[in-house]
Amino acid sequence: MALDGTAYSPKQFKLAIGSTGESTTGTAKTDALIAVNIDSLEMPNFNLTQFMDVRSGTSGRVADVDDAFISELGTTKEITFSGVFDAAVAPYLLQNCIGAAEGSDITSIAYNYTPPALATGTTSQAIQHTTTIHITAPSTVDASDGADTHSMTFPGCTITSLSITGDMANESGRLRFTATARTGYIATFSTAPVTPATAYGTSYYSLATLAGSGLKTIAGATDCVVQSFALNIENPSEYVGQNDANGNPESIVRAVPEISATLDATVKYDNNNTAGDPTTAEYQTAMKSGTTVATKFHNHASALASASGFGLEALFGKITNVAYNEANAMMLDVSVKFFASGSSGNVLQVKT
Amino acid sequence: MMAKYKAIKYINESDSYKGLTTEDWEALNRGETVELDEVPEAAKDYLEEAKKKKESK
Repeated sequence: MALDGTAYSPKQFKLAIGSTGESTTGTAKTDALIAVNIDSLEMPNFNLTQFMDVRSGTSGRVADVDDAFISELGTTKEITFSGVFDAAVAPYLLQNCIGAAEGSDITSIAYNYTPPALATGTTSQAIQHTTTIHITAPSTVDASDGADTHSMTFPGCTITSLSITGDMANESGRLRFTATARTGYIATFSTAPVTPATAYGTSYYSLATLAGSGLKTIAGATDCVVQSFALNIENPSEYVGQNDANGNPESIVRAVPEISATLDATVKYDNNNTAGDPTTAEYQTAMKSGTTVATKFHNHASALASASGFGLEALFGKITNVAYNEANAMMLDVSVKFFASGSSGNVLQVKT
Repeated sequence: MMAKYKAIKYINESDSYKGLTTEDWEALNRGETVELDEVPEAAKDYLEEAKKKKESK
């Protein structure tokens, strides 16, 4: 057969995610898909069982091909993708990662957070439960049989890591994300290309809109000059049990040992002193003394619920790191971990 | 508006205690009534309003 001169651009490969969750946990969703505005597509990590060691009784000191054992049963696939945190897809990523439904456009990690109970076959599921990820290759028709089945489908996905970032020096402050999704359900490696019902959004969040009379309290310091930030949410998922002989799990365990939220920010070193509040110049003393610091980052003067666009609020943080960042001015890199406090309130609230 | 509620079945802890405070969740599972300003969405299938007992004459 002659060589095929056709070439494909990496940008022709697409990723889509279910926007309403799976109707039945672990069953691939094919409707209500939304495209995700990704930068580029990485091949998922299949984590297949690949046993290829030499066994006893081989003819020589070499492994026999008949002894190789490859299986997908009980394995967990992982997919990492990054792109634009547009206003259409943002709530889906956030709700699935946290495992909680939003209310009034705010997704919260409550002080007594526990994840939803997730079991294979449960019906009437929503986006905070499981979703399906489709990786669609461009039309690639087999010359021999005319088949076009080179796309992949991953049912039962949960987003275990979501990082939302904004940097005034990058894309004019447009918010971006990096997400990692996992699934322990059997994937399909040869599906037909999928056309998402909804294109990715064209409304964006920007660090530039977190301005004016809004609150820019970072790690307890009010009225910060913020160069960049990264909000990181980690919510582990383990797929356990054997639902069927195909290797699908029985249930999904989330947030063990914890769901965690941290913030990394780069702010200007200054002594903008609001009475009673620490300043960025005092981060190191707040870290040493273990002061509980609040972060309120949104464009309303007082309430996250009244803010528009993206915003976040976490009232109980501890500074975990502070470092000088020698830029055009002296900046500080500060890191905070967010906690629950007492018997009410939230660890973190994010508005999208 | 504040009203008293009781559980109609066991409430598991999933979904952040169905939006209830941990104290209310414990009390409801003990069969007690609790006063709520608003029933969280996730708890609606588990609660009913506790009717006031009629005073005996």
